[in-house]
Amino acid sequence: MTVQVSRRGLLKGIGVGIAGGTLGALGFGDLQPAAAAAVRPFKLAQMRETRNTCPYCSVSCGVILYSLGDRSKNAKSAVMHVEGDPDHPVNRGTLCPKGSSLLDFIRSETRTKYPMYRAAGASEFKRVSWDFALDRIATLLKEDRDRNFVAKNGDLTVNRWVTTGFLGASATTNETAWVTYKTVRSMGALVFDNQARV
Amino acid sequence: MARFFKRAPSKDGADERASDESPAKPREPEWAADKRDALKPDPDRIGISGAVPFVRLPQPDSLFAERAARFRALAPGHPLAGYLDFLGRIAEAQAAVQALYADGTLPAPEPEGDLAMRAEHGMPALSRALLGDGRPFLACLDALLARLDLTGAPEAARDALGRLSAAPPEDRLDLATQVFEGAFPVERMAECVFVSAALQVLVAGQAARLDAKVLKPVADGVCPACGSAPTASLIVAWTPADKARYLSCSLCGTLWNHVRIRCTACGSGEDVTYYGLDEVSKDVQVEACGTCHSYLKHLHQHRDPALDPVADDVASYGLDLKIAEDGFRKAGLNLLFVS
Repeated sequence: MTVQVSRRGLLKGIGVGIAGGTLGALGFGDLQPAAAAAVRPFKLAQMRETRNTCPYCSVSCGVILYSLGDRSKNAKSAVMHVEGDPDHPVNRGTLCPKGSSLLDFIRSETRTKYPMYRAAGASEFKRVSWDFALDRIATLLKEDRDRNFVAKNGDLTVNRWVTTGFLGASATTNETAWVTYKTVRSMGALVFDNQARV
Repeated sequence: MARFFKRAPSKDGADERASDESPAKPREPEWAADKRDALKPDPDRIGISGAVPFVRLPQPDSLFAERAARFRALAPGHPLAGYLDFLGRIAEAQAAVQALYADGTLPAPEPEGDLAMRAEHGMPALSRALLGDGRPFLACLDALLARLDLTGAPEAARDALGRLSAAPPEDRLDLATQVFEGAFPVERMAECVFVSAALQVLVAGQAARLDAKVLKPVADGVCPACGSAPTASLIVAWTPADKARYLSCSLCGTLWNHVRIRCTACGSGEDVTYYGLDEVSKDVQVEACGTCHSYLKHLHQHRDPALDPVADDVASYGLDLKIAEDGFRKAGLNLLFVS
């Protein structure tokens, strides 16, 4: 009987486990229980590595987020380290001082995690729903556009709206950036960048 | 990429002429120009390059000696101490046999034309054809068996050595061919270890003489030099490839680049998790793929440069036992430790 290694490096064939493989064949079979006993009290620690893009500038360096815990189970996962992605053609594993401090960015207490609203005259921000926030943004955009839209410059049709600006994100895909561009430009907005250049 | 950052030669030739004419300025000595060049910004110095090298060919002169030293360092107090000591002796014998070949007495790898054709058709550079009529291999195996000191090893190991020494040449060559092809006869597992050890010396010597530039990716998890499965995955800390991942070939010891966070067996990057036993070592993990349910040892050589793919794969056997309980299968091969 033969044990065949597949192209994927997996051992095919029955009896490998039963025979104890090389260890048993060479007469070291009695070491196996000791090896098993040595690790029995321990629990496997899980770690995830996730690729992402640094949100700071238009260079868009690749980063790897190292997190503890498993997404699929009830355990709460937490990012514990951020590092440049060595496979990314832009930065080859390097990061600038801003990128290197991304972990503090993630854990920052002042990080905005949901829409916040400070009503006129109020002294504090309050958490609001996305519906509220989007309605409010749309209303203000429309008001400003109605007031300041420039259709003509003399005889020349220009259709421009320069009193409101729009910033897209650096980590969006090409497709998202395209849709953002079409949406914003179709309103006539000229002050537009698909990138938060900090 | 680094080229983009390099400054073009200065275009202000006019200024230079002007200053040449001025009698106040003495002529610069030649070394001054060199010094000025040294002060120019040069991103290459910080080790970034556009692409990491695809392969690092084995260095047999140090490979086996360092492996033997690693086995010796790992053995004391380890649950598998006896086996680590045994493999340490095999690695020492491999290093001794390798020393015989240091003067270049190994037969040459395949002819240039063959290599080009193999690369063109996406085949690994070395094949079992290099065993040829078997003379180089049999000489290598004899030299290894003669240098192997098995005092104190279990009877089964010494018996296997005796059986292999007594076996006819055709039989040994047949075994070597099977090992090269990744087929292990279960009833001769013990003899396969010695045959593999000799084969490793022979094939590493051949791979070391290849031209790294002719090696092209063959397939995921297949060595571009000899077509074998990887033993382990290493995160390295070399200057042009800091923290890149390389797979270590089980047969020839060639290291080849494989993108990180991507399964080496099925190529999926969807559900890759790293497991480890923090109490034992934080530098040895497994990369487990939730798509094909296989795993490969993942060694953080950038944190501990002493880690050896073969030796530490054996030493972290406990991790194999633990991860197997979770239903993962090993997608790597350790010729000295088939389990």
